[in-house]
Amino acid sequence: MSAVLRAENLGKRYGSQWALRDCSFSLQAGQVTALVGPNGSGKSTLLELAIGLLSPTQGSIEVLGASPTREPTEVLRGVGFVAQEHPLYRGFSVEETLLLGKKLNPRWDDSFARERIIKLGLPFKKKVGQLSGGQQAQVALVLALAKRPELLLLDEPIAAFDPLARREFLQILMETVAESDAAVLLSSHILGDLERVCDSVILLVAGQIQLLGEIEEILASHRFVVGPIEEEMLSSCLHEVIQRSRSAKQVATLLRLESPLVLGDKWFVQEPSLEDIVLGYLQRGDVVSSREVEKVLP
Amino acid sequence: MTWVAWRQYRVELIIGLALLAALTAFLLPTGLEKLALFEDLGLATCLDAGSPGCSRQVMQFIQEYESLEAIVGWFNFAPAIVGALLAAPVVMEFEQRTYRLAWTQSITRGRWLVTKLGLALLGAAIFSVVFTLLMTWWYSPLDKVTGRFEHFSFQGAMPLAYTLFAVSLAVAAGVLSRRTIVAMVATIVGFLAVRLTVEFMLRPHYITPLEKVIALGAPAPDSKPKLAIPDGAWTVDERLVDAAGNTLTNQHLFEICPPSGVGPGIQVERTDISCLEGVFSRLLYHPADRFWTFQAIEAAIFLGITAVLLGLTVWVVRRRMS
Repeated sequence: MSAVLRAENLGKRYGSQWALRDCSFSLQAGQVTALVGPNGSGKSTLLELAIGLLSPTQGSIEVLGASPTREPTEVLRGVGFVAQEHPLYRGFSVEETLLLGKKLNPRWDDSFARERIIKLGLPFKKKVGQLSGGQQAQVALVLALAKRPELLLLDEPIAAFDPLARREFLQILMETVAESDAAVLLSSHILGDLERVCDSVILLVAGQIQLLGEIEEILASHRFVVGPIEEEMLSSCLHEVIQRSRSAKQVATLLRLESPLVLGDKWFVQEPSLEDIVLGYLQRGDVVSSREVEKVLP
Repeated sequence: MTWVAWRQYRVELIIGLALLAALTAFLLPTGLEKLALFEDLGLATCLDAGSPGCSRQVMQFIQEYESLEAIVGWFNFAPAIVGALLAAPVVMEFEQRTYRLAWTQSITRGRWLVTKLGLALLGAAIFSVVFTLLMTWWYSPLDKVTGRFEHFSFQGAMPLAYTLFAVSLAVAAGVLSRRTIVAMVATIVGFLAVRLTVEFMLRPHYITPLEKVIALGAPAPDSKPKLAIPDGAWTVDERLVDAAGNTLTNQHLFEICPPSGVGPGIQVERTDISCLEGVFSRLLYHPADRFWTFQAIEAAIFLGITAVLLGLTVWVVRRRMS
């Protein structure tokens, strides 16, 4: 099956500053990927490169088999995008916003859009500017979903929602993916609830991919080990050390396993959560080279 | 896209129509009044005959218009205001960042820009045509007296060229600054700077003016006024020169022709002008038939700048903002 999105050595530079660099990955249909990283790590840049709002400085990106900047019509029709601040025309009513969607998108599913608005309990006649931030985010999401996209790009979608709306949002997302087999790439500075709905993770730090892969594989290939400090080499020589903390007698390390784990009987082994692993990578100073990243490609 | 653009221009359309209505409410009654006055003073026949007795009526008629000059002078700003108004829906997309919504629907940003700019320019064209018709009609009686050159900026292609220039200036400033206020201020300042420069520094020199030199000392050969230049001509320069062509100041004139009786509050009146022998009045003017050539030249200047600004906008939207 061909990839919905394929990035190769993708990079974007503003002036002398690289916002994103050496990014290579691909997304398959039906795959839900969390794009995680601290603020300013290049998440928005990556999403905007995928929808063609930005053009790459380096490398290439292909979405639905086309270049977002050179063949925008092909890409725009099949991709739903909600920007971080979910911009909408504040002077338009909800009804007019849906009409905008209908006029500007050939694949628009009007009955789906109306159903969603009714389900959300939003008044059609009300001006979008008079809705709450969370409601505006919902309208923006409906606008993107009713395009019936093959790829859905969401920039910090859960930030605008309270915990209840967040759960609803994640449910809609799962339903949509199940119905349409769309690929989803959604960014967030925290993993949180996303872990339950995503099957892959891309961790961006300072514009570069630190960790990439299916969540199951990531969980399987990382272990948290604690043991006597004199046997530290046992843990570190065969595996890659992601994070290490030492006390007087003990050393605790987060390892990426390169081979079966063999340790003495004085060692404790724990299965870290995805959150722990992500935090470990975030605290690690250096950045993995793209060659190392390729090793964890699914 | 057309529906979306129309919907976004709704407020601007209403403001624009209100502006035209206000202009009409002022121009229609005052214009009718002037037409009636033109008839009452019998200017049509008196101007045709070219009789010298016409000057009193002419003076009165011109003064009637001048009393409204304080209001009509502000109409010079109309193209800038309308331009800024019509550019606002484009500029606001950048300020409120909604262009990120528009450009991620299924239409390209190129089509988005063409539709929005098209509508702004169309609005500018419709406003200009109505505005030009109103102003041309309003000035038509006065034009017969002073010539069309006096109201150059309100006639022919000028309002259209100025308004299109103002729209493109506002849009370009908007896409560069992404701030509505900045764009509006830049539009007013930029518009005034270009308009005034062109009107006062370039317009008199589009074509080399014709020259007329009249000897002042010699008695008039006939009864016709001495300084006559063709009807409707635009005088761009008028000065006193000596035989060598050097400009004479008032100081010079006093030396050559000392007033016969000078005192506080005493008017100097000379019937004997023989001392002005060797003094000439030199006029530089453009004859009335140059009106449309001048219109074409000035329209080309403003439309040229408009094209450059639109090109800049397209470049910023398509290249720099990606």
